[in-house]
Amino acid sequence: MIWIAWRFQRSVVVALAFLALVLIGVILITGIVQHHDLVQYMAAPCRGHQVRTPRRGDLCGELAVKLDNIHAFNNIIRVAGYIVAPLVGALLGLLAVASEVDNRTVRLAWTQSISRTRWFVAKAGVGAVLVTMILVPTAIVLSWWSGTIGDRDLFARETYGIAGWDLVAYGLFMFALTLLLGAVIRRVGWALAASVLLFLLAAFSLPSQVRSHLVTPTVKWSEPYVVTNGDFTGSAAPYPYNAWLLVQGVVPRSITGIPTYREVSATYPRVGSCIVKLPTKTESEYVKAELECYKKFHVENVAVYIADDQFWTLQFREGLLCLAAGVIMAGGALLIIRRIEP
Amino acid sequence: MTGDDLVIETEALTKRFRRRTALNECSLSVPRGRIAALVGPNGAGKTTLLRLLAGLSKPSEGGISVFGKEMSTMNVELRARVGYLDQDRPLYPWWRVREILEFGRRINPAWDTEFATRHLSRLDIDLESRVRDLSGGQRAQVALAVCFAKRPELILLDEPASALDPVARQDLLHDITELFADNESSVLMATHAIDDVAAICDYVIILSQSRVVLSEDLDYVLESHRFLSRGLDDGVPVPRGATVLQELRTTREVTYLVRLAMPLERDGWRIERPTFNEIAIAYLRDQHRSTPAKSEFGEEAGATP
Repeated sequence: MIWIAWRFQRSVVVALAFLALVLIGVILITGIVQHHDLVQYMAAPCRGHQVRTPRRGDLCGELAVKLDNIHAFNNIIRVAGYIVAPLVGALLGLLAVASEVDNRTVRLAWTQSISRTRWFVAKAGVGAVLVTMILVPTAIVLSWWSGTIGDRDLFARETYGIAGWDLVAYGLFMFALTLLLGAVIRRVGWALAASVLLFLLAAFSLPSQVRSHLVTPTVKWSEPYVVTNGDFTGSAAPYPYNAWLLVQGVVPRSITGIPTYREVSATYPRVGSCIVKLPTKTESEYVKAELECYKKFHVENVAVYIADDQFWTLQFREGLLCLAAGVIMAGGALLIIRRIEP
Repeated sequence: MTGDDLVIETEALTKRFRRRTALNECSLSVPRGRIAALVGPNGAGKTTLLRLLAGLSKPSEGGISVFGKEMSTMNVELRARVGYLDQDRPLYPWWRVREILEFGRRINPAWDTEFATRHLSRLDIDLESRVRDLSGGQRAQVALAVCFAKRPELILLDEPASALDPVARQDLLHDITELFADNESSVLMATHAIDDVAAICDYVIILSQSRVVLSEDLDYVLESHRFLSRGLDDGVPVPRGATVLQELRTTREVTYLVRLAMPLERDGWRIERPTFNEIAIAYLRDQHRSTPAKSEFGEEAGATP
């Protein structure tokens, strides 16, 4: 049965593997070139200084412009990186179930001496292995590329998905989604359209609704001003460089648990209306007014964030979540397949 | 006849697709070792019945057993003993014929590669050809090879000769009888070609308007039907035990195709043997009129038309 599943997907797998190889090749070449330019630009004598219009022979200026210009190209690679996983998953998922049911070739397979369960497990199993085999090298190279071109903010929308192993999990999630929708809808075109729609919905809601809850964020409190020898220094709540800032603002110190954006939004207007009622003509008066109001409402500055050392934990948990959802969807597809009357 | 002698047995088998009833309380049995024909007009439920027997779909009501065991979509053991040729001849178009045979070999324990290659070689079908490059008839032959090479004990064929030229059709009928002789398999063949039935079948099931209207040995069917003719003014009643299926009138004469329940006495009738073709058409026409044959002249035998 494994041979049959492989034979059925062979042509598409070869085409997708070729596409992935081309992407990997482009990523490797541009990554190496950019890394070389970046190292040169950050080292002496350039030291990363900005130049708008470089003069002839100005090596540093030329490097700065070159690195600046390549941003658009890098964005294309990021988009390609984000597309490759669902594309591989969707095509192989559709081929495994929807295509067979739509073309009614299941009537040939399901009247032979094998059970529908064995048929599905072989097709889904081989498909999942092929998705993984195509996406693992792609994810490794993309992750390397993201680091080597200087993507520091690992939690940024354009970076997070291609900087870790979750690319593979996204591909497997899409694969399972198309298995399920292929079994439900039984038409290749409609199953693809519904899968893309649901995948986009998941991709856009995942960061805000799910991802931030997968690890416990750090909460940092701070006084609004530091007073040194009668002088005032403003201080926002500190959070590390490259951290994923979830909430920042003013909330009552009495809050238990992790402050939310809603609490920040509810607190600041009260503090703000208190401040405007006090004299704030000079900076000193403003600071005094703010301190007074903070004291009156017992509030402090707060920052809630996920530090970048949590990146791989987050990737691991989100990946597991995608895989668990994928297993559930594949199970659902199997239940439906056992009941289909082709 | 005991259950062991029956290869197929259905009891009040009903299949509904949303509001449409494709099969309605079909009860039939096919004895082991027969080549049975399933005859009926388009939409009569032949394909639905075959798909139920092949384990591709589930009945809405009623029971279905093959080799005395309940057939279901999950019964792999039973499916291994049943070969099924679908009406649409589903094959993977991008595969080579050799790969289609390899597909069959890998998932059927009793697969007969030699039979399949010999069958296709005889028809000059190149094993290296891709399925999409084959003609409709050649595709049908590949599908047949897959069905037969599985060496099933029961073969279900849905319009097997529909895409074949006359020579290929003749060869197919020959193959079926040959396979039947070699394997002692049972065959149930849905067909519109009534001539084929008389040529190779020994059991007949006529389906019409989702119901079984006849399910008997072909010899018995031929023996139990007669044309009875008399002059228009003779006024002789239809013999006792005869059910009129069809009435044909000319200016001088009236002819009835009747089904006999007991030996016939001449009683002034001119008696002729009908062909199976004529009997089948009479049953199908009768159902098309939606008027039960028996009610045309009343249940009472001997009623004067």
